[in-house]
Amino acid sequence: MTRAVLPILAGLACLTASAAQAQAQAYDCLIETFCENIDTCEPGPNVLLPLVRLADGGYRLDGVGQPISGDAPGNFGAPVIHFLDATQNRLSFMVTMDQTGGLVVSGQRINETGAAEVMSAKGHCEAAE
Amino acid sequence: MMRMILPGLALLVTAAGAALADGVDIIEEPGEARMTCQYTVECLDEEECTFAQFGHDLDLPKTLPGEATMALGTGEAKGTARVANGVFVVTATDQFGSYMLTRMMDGQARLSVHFAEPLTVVNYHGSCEFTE
Repeated sequence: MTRAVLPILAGLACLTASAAQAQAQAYDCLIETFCENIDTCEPGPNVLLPLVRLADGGYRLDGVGQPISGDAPGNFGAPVIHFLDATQNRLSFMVTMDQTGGLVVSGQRINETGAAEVMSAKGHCEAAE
Repeated sequence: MMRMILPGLALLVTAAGAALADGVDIIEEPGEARMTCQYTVECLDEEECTFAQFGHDLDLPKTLPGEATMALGTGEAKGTARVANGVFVVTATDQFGSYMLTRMMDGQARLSVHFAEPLTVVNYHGSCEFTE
């Protein structure tokens, strides 16, 4: 199922909150379901995504490129984060976390054969200790 | 909720001739360009994907990266158009949700939509063409 994303998620999970900043809040986000293209969704790979709220109010998903926009104030009160992944995985990410810690992640890319791929995952985040 | 809202989004079609060199990185014609997107498959959360008839227009900047506006049936979603990883990517938000669109050189497109209340993700499969 997770031909493209499992390795990516696993790689992300291995990354630490390397740039912990003053007053930054780190979240551990557990992926519970995962969907790829038009295939049937499957239970999540149970990896943790390290999501960090930065001191300036922006967000960072560790190991995934640079955030191209931080949270979106007034947009249902939930942080909405867009990332463009500059790594070899060549994914563009969009992340939304609601006020209860619910998380949705979408990833889009052109794969090695030139086909457009889209993936999505849902899960929950908790403040990391 | 999504199935009620999104099919109601505008299906607007315009015509004319704008072009992107290499499909993604330079808009050759001066002035803004417009792209029309049509989607035929909708995947809502963990449900099985279904047939969809949904489309929208997209106003693009003179140069990339730049401001982009998605013309949806519920209003405009404003954001940024850019080239990322060699493909054309638009990210945008409005009061209802957030949007991420990827378009390949051959026109294939994927649109992801996030809503927060309730927390929902929808992926659309279709194509986008430059129309002016």
